[in-house]
Amino acid sequence: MDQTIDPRVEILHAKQARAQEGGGADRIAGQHAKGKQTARERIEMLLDPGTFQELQTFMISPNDGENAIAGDGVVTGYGEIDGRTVYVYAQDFTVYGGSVSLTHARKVVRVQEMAMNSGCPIIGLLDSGGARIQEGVSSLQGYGEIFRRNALASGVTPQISVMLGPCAGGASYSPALTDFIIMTDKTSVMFITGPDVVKSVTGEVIDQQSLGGAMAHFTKSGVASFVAENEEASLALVRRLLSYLPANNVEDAPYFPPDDRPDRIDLRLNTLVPEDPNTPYDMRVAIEGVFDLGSFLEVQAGWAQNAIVGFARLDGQPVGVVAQQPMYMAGVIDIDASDKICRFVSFCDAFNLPVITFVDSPGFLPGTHQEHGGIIRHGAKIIYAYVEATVPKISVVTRKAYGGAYVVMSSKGIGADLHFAWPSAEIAVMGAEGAVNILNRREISQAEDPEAARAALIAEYREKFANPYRAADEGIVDAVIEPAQTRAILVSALRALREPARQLPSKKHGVMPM
Amino acid sequence: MPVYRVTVAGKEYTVEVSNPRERPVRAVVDGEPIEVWVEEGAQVAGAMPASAASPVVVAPAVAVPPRTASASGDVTAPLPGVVTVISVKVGDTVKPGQDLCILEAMKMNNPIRATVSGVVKTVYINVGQQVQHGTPLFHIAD
Repeated sequence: MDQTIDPRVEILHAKQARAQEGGGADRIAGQHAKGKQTARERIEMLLDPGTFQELQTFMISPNDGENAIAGDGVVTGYGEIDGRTVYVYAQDFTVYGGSVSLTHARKVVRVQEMAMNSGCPIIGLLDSGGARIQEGVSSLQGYGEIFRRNALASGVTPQISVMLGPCAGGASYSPALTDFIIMTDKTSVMFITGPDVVKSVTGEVIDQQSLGGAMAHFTKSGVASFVAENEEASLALVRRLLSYLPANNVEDAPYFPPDDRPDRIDLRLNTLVPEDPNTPYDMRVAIEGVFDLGSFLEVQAGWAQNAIVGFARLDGQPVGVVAQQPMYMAGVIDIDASDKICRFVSFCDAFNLPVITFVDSPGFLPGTHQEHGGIIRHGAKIIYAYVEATVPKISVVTRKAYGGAYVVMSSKGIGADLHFAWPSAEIAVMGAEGAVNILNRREISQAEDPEAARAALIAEYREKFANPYRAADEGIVDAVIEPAQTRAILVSALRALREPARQLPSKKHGVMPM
Repeated sequence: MPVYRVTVAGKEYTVEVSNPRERPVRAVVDGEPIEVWVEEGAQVAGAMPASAASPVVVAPAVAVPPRTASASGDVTAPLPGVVTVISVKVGDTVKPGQDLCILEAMKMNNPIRATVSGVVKTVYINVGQQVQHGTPLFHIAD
């Protein structure tokens, strides 16, 4: 047989090889010198080996004439992660700094639409200097088209943005519209206005990383869902995150046979909650004790730490976990915690993940800082998200469950399917101190020793009401459970609630308080 | 927590690992909490020489202690409350996760912990003092 290659195939190979070079050897060396990989190297790290099919490799911007570079600064296509198809676009910083032209944008839109139509997750690897200024307003049109698909795809397929370089100005709104943002420490940066503009407008002097680096967004703004130490870790995190998620809103999340017994008892949990109500404890211990070993993946772990949200598996079934953290700010609900919980619950509902909530809710954070910041608007979102969620909802009260702060946290009243309490639960309309001051004001003021009288009344109130049994008497709590048994009880609860038949009233869409 | 004794370059370290399958792995090396990213693909469970996973120390255990320090080195109050205990004094060396003071708020003794290592340069507060959200409590520097 003739071993020579058909010249027409040779032409294809030559064109492909040229496209592979992106912005050329010098630019690639420059990218590597910054500790960054090229778009194609990143895709290779992200996907299962040999599964990437690139699309529109040769597409060029009509304005670039002789200088046009095939691909126009973005590599797009599809491939597999753990054998499941995902769509990918990766901005190529070596081509015009990864700047967005209308062509570049239309390539992105093409994979966004394909992902949506075929019900597969879409992953954006972002590394772009911004708009292609030479293209003027066409570039803005391109951004708008990307944003539109981001918004339309929300709740249809999971969207993940991996930040691997700059993403400044309006461009930040594309990742912001996606479900998760993974930022790479030290090399990625996101801001609406950069340090120069900040300085000229406000006089504030701040460097790029302090303003919009990974740690800033991970700990201060809550924009970053995750931070990873380098590109490899960022891309590995995408693969781990997808292991909890269905490909779209009609599929179930992938089941992995657990290497943990469904009836495992964790005796630590029986003594986790200290007897002194003023002593905090670490809610992570409860989470680690209940879910499949090593399965908890915390989201937004560095921000609003009074609330904990993340994914875990329960006997192999992925679930969303929401909890309050008494170790940080007593686990109070504040504006940031409201945002964090609301968004997470809404995501879980969109993608058929049951929500399991651990409640230790001492109250809303008092003060002008919160009231004037709109804690009323923000706290309302938590209720809205839980009520709107039609997935199975299970809650476990571990300790404090007082007043309105109890009601918003997946209480029976707002629609928990199963509502459990540990024996350490204190479910009451308000804390003992506050209740006694209102109910027994006269008695205290007329007592010979008002402070002693107050203390005695508080102790009496605590004895009577700071427990789960009033709520159990009313049938609000479905069962008071031994903490060590929580895992087995939740496993069976999840089976019992497999397919809740629940429909929201017909409407165009509700209006979430914001 | 399983405890390992690891010898690297002739020096022995005591390493406690809470959960080797977690990412990042949270570990305590000779009493100091750290987070490590394990090279994926390496065998994690089972008998594996510690060096094979080539763990990279990323940062002090960011997610474990509550994060309260701002970039300037000031530790500020995350919520309004009353200072009931001050556990450090000027000149003390502190490590991430170490208790600096207790802030009583929301009927809870909230531990305020260091998130960076360094030396306490200033204590801005007194026991019994009422502080507001954002009030500086300590200044910590190298």
